[in-house]
Amino acid sequence: MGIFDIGQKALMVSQTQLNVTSHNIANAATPGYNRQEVILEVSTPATLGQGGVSIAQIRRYYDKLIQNQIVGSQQDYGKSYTLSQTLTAIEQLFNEAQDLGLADPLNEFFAAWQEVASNPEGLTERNSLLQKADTLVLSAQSMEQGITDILRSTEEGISDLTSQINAMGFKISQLNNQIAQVEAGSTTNTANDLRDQRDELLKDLSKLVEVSYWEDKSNGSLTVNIGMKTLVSGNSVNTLSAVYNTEGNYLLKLDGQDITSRITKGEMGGLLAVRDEMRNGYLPDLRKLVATITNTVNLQHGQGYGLDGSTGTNFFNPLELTVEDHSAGAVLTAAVTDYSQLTLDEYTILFNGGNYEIYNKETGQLKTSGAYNPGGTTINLEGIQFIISGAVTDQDQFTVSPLTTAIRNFETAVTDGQKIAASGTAAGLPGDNTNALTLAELMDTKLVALKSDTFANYYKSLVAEIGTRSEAASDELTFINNFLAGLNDRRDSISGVSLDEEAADLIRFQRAYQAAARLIQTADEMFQTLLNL
Amino acid sequence: MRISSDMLYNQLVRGLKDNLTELNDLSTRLATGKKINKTSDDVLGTVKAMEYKLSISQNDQYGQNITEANQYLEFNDTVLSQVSDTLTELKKMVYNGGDTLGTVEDRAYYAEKAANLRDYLLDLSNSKFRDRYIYSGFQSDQKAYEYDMANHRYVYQGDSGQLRLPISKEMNQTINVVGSSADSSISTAFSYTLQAVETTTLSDGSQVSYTAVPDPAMGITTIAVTITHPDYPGDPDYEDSFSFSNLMDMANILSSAWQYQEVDGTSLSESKSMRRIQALSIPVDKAGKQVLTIQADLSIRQVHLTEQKSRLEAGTLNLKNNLTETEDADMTETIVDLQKLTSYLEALRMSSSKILSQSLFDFLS
Repeated sequence: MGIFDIGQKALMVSQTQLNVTSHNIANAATPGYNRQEVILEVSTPATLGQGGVSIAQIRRYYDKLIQNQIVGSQQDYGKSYTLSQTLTAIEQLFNEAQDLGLADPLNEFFAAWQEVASNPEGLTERNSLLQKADTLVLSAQSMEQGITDILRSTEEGISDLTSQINAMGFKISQLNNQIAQVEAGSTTNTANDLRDQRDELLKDLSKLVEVSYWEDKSNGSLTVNIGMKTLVSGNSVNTLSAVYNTEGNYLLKLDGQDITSRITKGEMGGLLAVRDEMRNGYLPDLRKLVATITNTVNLQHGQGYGLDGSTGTNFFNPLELTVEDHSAGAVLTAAVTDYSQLTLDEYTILFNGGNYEIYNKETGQLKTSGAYNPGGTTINLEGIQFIISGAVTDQDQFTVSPLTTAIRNFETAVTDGQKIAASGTAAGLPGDNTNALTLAELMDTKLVALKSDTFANYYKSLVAEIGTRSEAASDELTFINNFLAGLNDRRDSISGVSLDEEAADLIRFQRAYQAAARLIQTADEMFQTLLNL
Repeated sequence: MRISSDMLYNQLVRGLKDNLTELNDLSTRLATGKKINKTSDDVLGTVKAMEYKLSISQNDQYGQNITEANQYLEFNDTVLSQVSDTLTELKKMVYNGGDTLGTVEDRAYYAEKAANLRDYLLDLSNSKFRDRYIYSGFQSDQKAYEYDMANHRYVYQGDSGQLRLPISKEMNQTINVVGSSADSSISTAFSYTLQAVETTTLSDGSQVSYTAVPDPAMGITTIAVTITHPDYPGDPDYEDSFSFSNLMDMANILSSAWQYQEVDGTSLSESKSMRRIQALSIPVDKAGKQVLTIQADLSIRQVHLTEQKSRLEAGTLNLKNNLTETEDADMTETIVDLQKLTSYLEALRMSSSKILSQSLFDFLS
């Protein structure tokens, strides 16, 4: 091979190097971009002699291990981020540090009973009690409203994430296709930029949801699974869908299967977790507190006498039962027969081979069971009468709850101060304050429905629980953020573009180009010398 | 380690973000004066603060109850002092006018005066505090006593209701005294009770016996007085009986006796009248002592309340200190922290603006 050919090759190689350098500079700020480098090799000629230089490969600086770690951490980050955001919002509803929440209204309500006790004849004290009761009602209602608002936006978030995940899945499948086409049949030609894009998409996707993935070495296409079901395989995608279940919660289905319980990470995992915490924890706990206040105060109030001689009056609207019917052809009605017997538990009614079974929904404890008669079965349990009729199957299910509407229906039933039953006996009117005293003492009474705790302590543990969860989530977020920052630094250290390096390369490759040009010039001059002979 | 351009940039952004977050925390602390601004800042602290706040506001309520109770008791005490003075007056009259046969004018004067004292006692028994009749028990909208014209007696219209107010988590304090009661264990302001039958001998040798007859239906105890002479058993000139159930009844009987009359206005022999006056000297005396005892009891209650109040106040002060320590930010510390942070932030901004603006490209020509 001649100088001319060697020079020409060197010229082209330098040009490619300059191209790659400018590509690096141009993409210095592109997220997920891995810097590229031209790998050279000695060109071996067919015969003896020097063959010059040729390009072996344009490779990208890429550490698969770090990339995998980042994808994994993104899942944790997504979850922590969502949990922290949502829990901070819930925490604000219970922010006793700023005197928001229920502690003050609750305390003032019972203090108002002492005021009534100090002057049982006085309408001023009685009307003030009614106002304190209204404040308590409004505070409880705005807290429930706050939680249900967050719950609704969480459900909306789940649905939104589903579409984002599907869009990303589709893009990955397209990239799979393109990468396969570019790399087909070539051992040196890798689709660097397409792979960068796909890696970045995978990283973003893993922030949203827990994924598992692997690359098919034969064609470079990436398979992505969510909850052990395939989202992307080659250039085909399955659609993740959010569908309502019987209780009005979103379930996630992929490839025809419910994968909700398998998703524990990513933003989706965070949303699902915090949704369940609200639905099964904070909301029923708050409702139970209010239901206990309603029922306990009502029972005691009913025993006293108002200034007008009225007795048996409810102070708050009495609790109502809510029935959720998950049956094909059966009907269940439930009514409270004795408020003093209510445990304020929720019940699940199942059917098993012609028998009914009533369970405590929270603990799963079997409360009672018996033969079911489709003509009509009446069951009396803990102050509630259940009447079930119609044909049932073993798949049928009912839930009965005294809590669902406890806050929605929470309202002061007494509107006339005269009817406040401060007196313990009819004969003691109007100066008897014994019932007002007993009602005031409820504040310090330990109640079975509240796990043998007082109103204030039960509420306090709820506040503490939410605070602890929120603190843990934000600590976790800080940790994972720092961890991720470390990973990203390591990645950038390997794959990131350094403008200083590129500037140096630019000069180096420019010089190489100049040298190659000089080779050609020298060859030309040598040729000219020959011609001039 | 190889440093890429993005690393420098990211590091700077992280540094700024961390510093600004801290700055935000500190300025929230300064603005609210509290180091706990949300539960998760310090869960244990929040829970403690909630407990302190609850105890403080409960103490405040107990404090208000005590103030209310003290006012009630003070008023009660004032009224009872007047009752006591009236009884002393009545006692003097019984001593002076009980064993001598005065002139008609003297007797008329005594009768008139006793009647005045009787009406004064009735007024006192119907005292009102904040629109409540204080000696009627729970029947606070009813006058404690009213005159029954048909039976010439003063009738109790209240009951034995004891008005209690909570002054701590464990203690309720009774703040009222009832006028009359059928229950001998309840102290009463306008009637007096006997634990057993009592007897006495008058100057002429007549025997007097006093028997308490509780009447739970009316909520009163009547004292039945019978007078007999051991030397003349069954003699209608010596045998006499009458009864009273409150101070007004007693004064009424005295007033009538000085007029040689029964309470219904029918005439009563001079000797019987005199014996009645003498027989009433013991009840008048006892009633006076009983009122003094109640007053002493009321003072004890007031002392107790005052002690309880200072205990509560000391407790509240202590709780407030604890609350401050738990949730309030140390301002000096916060400001020093803020200044430190501000200088860090400034240094970070200056140094990064220098590092970031430099590149090899700047030096190529």
